[in-house]
Amino acid sequence: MTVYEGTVRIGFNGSPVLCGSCHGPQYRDWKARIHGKTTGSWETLGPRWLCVECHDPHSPRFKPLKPEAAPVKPKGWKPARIETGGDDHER
Amino acid sequence: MRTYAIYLGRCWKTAFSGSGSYRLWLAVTGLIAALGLSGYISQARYGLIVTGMTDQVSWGLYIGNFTFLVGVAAAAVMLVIPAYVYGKTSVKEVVLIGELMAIAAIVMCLGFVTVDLGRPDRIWHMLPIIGRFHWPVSMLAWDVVVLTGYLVLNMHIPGYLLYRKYQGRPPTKRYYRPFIFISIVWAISIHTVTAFLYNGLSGRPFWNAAIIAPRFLASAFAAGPGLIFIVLVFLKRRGLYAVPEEALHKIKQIFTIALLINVFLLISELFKEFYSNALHGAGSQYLWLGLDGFHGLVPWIWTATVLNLTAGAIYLVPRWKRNRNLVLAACAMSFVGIWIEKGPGLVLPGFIPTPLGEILEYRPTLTEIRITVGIWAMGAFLYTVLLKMALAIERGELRESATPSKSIRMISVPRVAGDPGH
Amino acid sequence: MSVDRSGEIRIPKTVDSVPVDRRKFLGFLVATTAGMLGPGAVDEAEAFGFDKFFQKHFTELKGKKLEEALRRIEKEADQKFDRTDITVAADPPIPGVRYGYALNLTRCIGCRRCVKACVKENNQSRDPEIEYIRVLKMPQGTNDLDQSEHYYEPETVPEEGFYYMPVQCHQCSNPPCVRVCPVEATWREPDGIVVIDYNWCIGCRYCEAACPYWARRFNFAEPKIPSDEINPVTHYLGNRPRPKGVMEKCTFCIQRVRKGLMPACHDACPTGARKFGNLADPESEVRQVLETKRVFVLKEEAGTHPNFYYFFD
Repeated sequence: MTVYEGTVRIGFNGSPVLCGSCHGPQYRDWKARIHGKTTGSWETLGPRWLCVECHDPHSPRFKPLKPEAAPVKPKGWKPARIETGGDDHER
Repeated sequence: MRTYAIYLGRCWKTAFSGSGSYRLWLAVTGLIAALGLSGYISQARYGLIVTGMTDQVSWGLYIGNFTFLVGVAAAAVMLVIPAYVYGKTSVKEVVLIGELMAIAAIVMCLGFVTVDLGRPDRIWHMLPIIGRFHWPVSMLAWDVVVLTGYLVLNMHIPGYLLYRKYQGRPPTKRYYRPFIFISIVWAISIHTVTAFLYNGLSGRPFWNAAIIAPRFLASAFAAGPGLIFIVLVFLKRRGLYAVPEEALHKIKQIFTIALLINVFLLISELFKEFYSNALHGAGSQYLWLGLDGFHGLVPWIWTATVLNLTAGAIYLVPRWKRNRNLVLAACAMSFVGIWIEKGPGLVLPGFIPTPLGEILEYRPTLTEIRITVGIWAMGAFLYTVLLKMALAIERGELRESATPSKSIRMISVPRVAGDPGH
Repeated sequence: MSVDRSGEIRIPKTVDSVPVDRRKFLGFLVATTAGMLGPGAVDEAEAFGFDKFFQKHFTELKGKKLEEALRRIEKEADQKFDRTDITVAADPPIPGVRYGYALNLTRCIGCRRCVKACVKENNQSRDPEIEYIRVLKMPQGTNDLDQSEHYYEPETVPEEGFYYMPVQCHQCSNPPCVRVCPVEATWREPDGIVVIDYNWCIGCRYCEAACPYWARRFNFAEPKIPSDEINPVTHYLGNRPRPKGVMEKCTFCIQRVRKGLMPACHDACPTGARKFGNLADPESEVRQVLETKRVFVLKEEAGTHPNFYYFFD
């Protein structure tokens, strides 16, 4: 597709081609059906979502999430002190 | 058959009669064993959660003791070799002491493995044909075969010889001599198989080393004969058995050389683990130096090393090795030192750090310790009872022809007060 | 829109008591007596059963015997967890299928949604807690697992300077766990899944020592799962409720994948870092990944040939 100067109207269906014109690796993965989340069956892969159905075009990057709880600490657990040249931090 | 039953009945009576101090010993070990059993009932009810083991460190005190005791059992053969391969008749007289120790040690091993199982009610799954015995692929299946076979061998050989002595008839060579030679090979095999259990695991770099099997054998032949030496000297000093000096001397030679080899193998191991500072040395680092702030085992392994080196020094320095009491102390030191090396010092660093790099230290719980001590007490009880019966026969006190009330004393060693008799 | 399932963590309510009626009480008496005599065989919630004790290895259970065993296990599970709907299937492997997994380390943010979804799907004990998947927080620039953190709990993930690597059973083609089991309680199925017969395992934990990926878990106590959190759709070799004293691990959700579904962890991942499918099918997403991405496996030198691949992109 060619980019014109000025305003261009693109339908939602055109988002893969638009986004893909810069984000080549993601577009290639998307075409091979290995980009992003899929659910359902491994035998027949489900429908392919358009870019904008997962990525908000005005803020495409996913927000950080609050992680689920860490594993329950087993009995006798103590944090490790990793010596990393001057920066002793616990983990 | 009937005479054999009578024989067993008389052995039983002999086993449980004796002096006050003898019966006190039986009572104490029996009581501790019972305490261990009650601990086990709690474990059977709630599961292995009552121990200090976790998914991170999934083997602990039980398997550590098992590993050490397989070595002690194998050490019985250290008497058989000079006695039968080199024909040292003086040592022949004390082979029995070692074989009976092997029985007690194997029974303790079986005890430790059983208490370690999550589902001991399913032990029958290991039987061939009615179960699924994963032999020859699984090293644990091999271990079951060799340990059972070794127990049977060590029950048959002294059992047969003692019965013949009791009857006053000479034993038939072909009923015991081939088994004695088999037992030599078999003793080496039980400990090699136990070593292979560990060193076949490519996912545990601390164990995945060729040196494990030789080190197992060297340390076993230092610790086990040391214990046999202590028992023999005890029996001699209490007038319970006439132990030839030459036999004691032979055993001393064996455990001295074994300890030296053990020290050399240790140095070899340390060099490989530490010289290149490679990542797979993490387990060794945890054990000897501590890792990431965790150093729970460091005092233990260094204590063990000091004990072993001190024992080695006592065995070598002429002025010290002539002092029998010092040598006895050294035997005890090397027994404890090697227990640490092969028990916690072998099992725990295999799990620390975990294959995913987590460090969780292990501390046994009171229940776990209680069960462990209970099994040791049971082993001591069993060994004591076996010795009592066997020595009565050896000394000629228990004979088919003799009536129970009269006994023939054949010992010429001066008596010490309180020794068991009739 | 991205899936955001963050929320308060519910404290599970545990079920300890067993409804008492006369038959159960007698069973309880038998159980405690047998429990004294036959350690490890029983606990209050299960009565001693002849069929159960002498049940053959799963691979020898066929036809009627298998049906009886499955129904018996369903009943036991219903009783134990106070439900009426637990089913235990024994779906065989689908011919021509070999499962494989690929995980995109650039996309994984370490949110642990996969861990928690797995726990729910596979009826893992909440107390003591068992989680098949362990997410490692790794500093950028190293593959050394000894530098990983497991118990991270920052406000948000991902954190700057780290990448996240979930580890679970890799269903290895040359599995060390299968090799060491003394009773053949664990084996590799034709579709590649390494399974455990929970009624055959003796709990020696040799397999746990053998696994280079710390993927196997042991039931140190009787598993406790709140009755209302039980997933009733189970498989004999997969997520059916397990007894104490036996091993368990990830089975790629055998109860789901043998019905054509994706594993629970795959569907739970909010960023699409997980790819799963049939390695024998060139059109599957996992094959597409293997063919276009630079994949690697953990501890390749151990010779296990895992069927779980990692990649960055």
